[in-house]
Amino acid sequence: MLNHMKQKKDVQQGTLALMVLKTLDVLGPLHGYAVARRIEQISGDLLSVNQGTLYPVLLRLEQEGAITSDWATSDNNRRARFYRLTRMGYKLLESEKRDWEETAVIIARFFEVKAEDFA
Amino acid sequence: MRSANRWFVRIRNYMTGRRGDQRLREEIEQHLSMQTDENIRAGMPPAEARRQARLKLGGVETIREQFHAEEGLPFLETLLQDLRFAFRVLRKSPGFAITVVITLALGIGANTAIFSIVYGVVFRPLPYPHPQRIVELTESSPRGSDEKDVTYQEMQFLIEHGSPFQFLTGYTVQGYNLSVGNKTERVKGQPVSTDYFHVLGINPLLGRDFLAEENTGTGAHVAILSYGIWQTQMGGDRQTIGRTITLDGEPFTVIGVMPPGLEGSVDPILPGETDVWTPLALVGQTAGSGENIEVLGRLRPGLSLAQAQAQMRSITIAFRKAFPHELGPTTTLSIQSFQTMLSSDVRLILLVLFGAVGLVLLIACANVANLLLGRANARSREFAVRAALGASRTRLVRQVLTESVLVSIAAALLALLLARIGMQSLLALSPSDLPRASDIHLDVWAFTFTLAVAVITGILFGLVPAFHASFGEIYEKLGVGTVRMSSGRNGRFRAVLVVSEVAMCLILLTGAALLIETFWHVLNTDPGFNPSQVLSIEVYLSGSRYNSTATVSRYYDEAMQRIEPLPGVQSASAITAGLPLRRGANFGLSVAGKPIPRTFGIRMVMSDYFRTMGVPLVLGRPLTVADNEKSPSVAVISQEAARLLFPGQNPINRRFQFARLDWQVVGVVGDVKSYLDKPAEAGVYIPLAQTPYPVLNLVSIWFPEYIVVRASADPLVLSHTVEQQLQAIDPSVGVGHVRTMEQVRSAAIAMRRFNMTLLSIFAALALVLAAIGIYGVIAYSVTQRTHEIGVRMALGAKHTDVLRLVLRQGMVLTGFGVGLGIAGALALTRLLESYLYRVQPTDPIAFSSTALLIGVVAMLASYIPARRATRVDPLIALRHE
Repeated sequence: MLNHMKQKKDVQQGTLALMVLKTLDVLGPLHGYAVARRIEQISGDLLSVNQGTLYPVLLRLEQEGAITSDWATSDNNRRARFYRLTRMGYKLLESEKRDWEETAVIIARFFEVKAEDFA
Repeated sequence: MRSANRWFVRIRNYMTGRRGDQRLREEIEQHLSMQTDENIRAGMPPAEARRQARLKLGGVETIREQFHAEEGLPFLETLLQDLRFAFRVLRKSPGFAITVVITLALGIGANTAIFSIVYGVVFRPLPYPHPQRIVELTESSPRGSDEKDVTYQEMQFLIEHGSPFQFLTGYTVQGYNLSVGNKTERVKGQPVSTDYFHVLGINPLLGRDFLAEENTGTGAHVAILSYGIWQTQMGGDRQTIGRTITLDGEPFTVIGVMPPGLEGSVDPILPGETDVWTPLALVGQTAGSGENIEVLGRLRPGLSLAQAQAQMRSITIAFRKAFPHELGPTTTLSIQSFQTMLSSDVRLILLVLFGAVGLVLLIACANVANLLLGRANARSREFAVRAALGASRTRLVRQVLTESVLVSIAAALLALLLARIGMQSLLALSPSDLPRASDIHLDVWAFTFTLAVAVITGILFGLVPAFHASFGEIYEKLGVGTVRMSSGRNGRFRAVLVVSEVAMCLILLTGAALLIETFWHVLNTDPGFNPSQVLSIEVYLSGSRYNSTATVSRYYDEAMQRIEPLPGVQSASAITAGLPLRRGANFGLSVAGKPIPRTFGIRMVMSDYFRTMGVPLVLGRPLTVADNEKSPSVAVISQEAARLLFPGQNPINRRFQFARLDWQVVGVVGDVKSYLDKPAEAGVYIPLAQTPYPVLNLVSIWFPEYIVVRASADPLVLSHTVEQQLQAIDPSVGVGHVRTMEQVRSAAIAMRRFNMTLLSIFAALALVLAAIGIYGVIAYSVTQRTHEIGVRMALGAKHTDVLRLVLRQGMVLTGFGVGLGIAGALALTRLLESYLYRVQPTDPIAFSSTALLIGVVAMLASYIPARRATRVDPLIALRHE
């Protein structure tokens, strides 16, 4: 039971990190709330329960050097912490994307396989 | 790179105590207000908008925890927390903590000390390249195998025919009087043939090896010094090479110095490290040592010991053809690893001791397991509560591991101390002839291994409560009164542990008892002389000044004249070729020209020897001053010699032949032992003044000559004056090793005392540990049965009934253990058989006394908790539930 839950969380965190990177790549520097909103819009319910889980992921990416953050003023004149990709972040996104696509291709093939293919 | 970066930041955060709490709070606050604004814009009332925003964000505490975990090093923080907690827990039950630490420390410490000794003496590879290829020539017969002594010609034959060997060499040992300047010292010499150092694979530290031409003909007067002698006698001077030293009065040129720690001879006559090497050709051809050459070889690369052994068969056939009378019909030449030969005398007993101390470790581990299991039950409530409060299984397990490791570390530190002290005292206690003593060091691997065993035990059994707690019996355990239920299986397991502890303890005790009995028998063996108040002093008369019987006996005459009048001296004499209780020379004899198929311990003595030593005269007369070089050759023989030489006859005035002379028996004396635990040798005493010089010279190569003095009080008081008198006769004569005969006897049983003491210590340790084990189990069971005992007492059971109830439980466990132990001991004490003297390995006294001892100790160990049980107040006990 415990193990199962832990695995699920790990997958979420990994996916979430990739989504954060991609969002920052497409939209440029954003604050946490904007990232959350953007991911919510695109992914539907994945983040709708616990938006807060985003912050540990942001911290982790920052500690890894994939993103940096600074205080800045948002559109509606609020002070907020803005995150943006670093060069390492771009590279990380590229390699993660490649990995993800390769995995997706393999998985897709498996789903195409029919029973007679094994005969 | 990425993860390195992350770790670096995390460690920095941890070290600087930096916390992103403030930042997270601000971000979350921003997040919430943005979401709230948006919700309001979507038409929600402000309060509801705020609530929905919070819901969407999720649990702030969980986020903070995750954030925090991401930020720092949470496991380190938990570890510190665990450590603090473990300290608190252990401090709360100091009895438990101290018992476990001491138990483990004793087990680990004793094992480390013994393993270090066993490894150093038996297993540590010799410090030579490919030491497994160095072998010693042996002879094997159906009776066993022993090192083979050959003559110079036989050795040369073997070197020519030794096909399995890359190098083959011969060596012998002899004592030398080494004189540097005007100082004379007795040293161990080792004449070696060419290639000796090639066999060992060792190059000289300074100078060079012997050249082939120095080892031909009658040999060159060159010598190689040991590192030790070079340091002590030459002051470690590098200019030593080329200097001249005097060995037995003859000049030798030093050509080399060897590195330290060379173990290069298997020889029981002169054990220990060699001080000086000389060419074997110097002594190879001479009569005595010509038959005492041992052969050492280095196997060809790639040849296994078994393959070489097979080739020895064809060598045996060729050898038998060349020397038809040398080998018995069932005897073959074989080889044995040099390393094995070096430690062969002590190998078995050291392994037995090692096995014994291994048992102690097992008992210690069983005890720790026992204590932890007992505690597991006591703590199951605690763990259940903590699990109910949300501690995960990992968290509980980690807590237990921390406790175990903490205890183990404390035990390890104590054990290291014990091992150091133990090894020092063991080595101090060990007999001086323990081989390879210089190779003994505290063994790090042994320590690590035993520590690992102990830690694993601790962890394994420490985990029991944690697993119990996490396998979903939380509610059951929280229910008061059900604690007792869960201990059934556990209790049985603990009983098994105690039974095995008792069994192992009995095995050790029986072994110790057998050795103690043996020692007692050896100690009470009559050596055949009266050792009290007798002083013995070694003297070494050799060199050109003492090259005839007349010169040697003149020295002793003068010594006797100077010593006998000294105050406190009752009588004085001298003996060569072997002191009682020391190894001596053996020779063959003939009667009426027919050789007797036995060897005789022939000793050359001065007059008054029997009176000085306290050897009783049985028949005839002793040897006197009148038996000199001008009078007819006479001898006094021992009772055993009389029985062998002249069975059923009066030996007085009978004759035998020795060293081409005819000797007439004038007296018979009691048997004197060379070894306390063996039958007395057949002894033959001849006057020193009548002994042919070649015989005197021969025995002086190996055996010191002894002056013996019987004193009217403590003989050691005389030693200084006697030495002064001897120096006054001739300062060039080496004098040393002043000992009383009591000390000689003590040295003769040193190895036995060592073995006995060690095994007894282990057995005592085992007994203490087993007692703790029994006490633990019974005491725990009494606590568990308080309710039941209360009921019994309420129903009218008397104190004695309760006492009997509890004691019976202890005695049943002990009984099983003793039964099992006796079976084990019967199987194992046979290993000790060769070390026993006048005791059978199945000796009923040893078995019954140890069983009784264990019974009494077990009774005491269960009596303490039993008495506590009788003090149970039924009212309190019943309310307790």
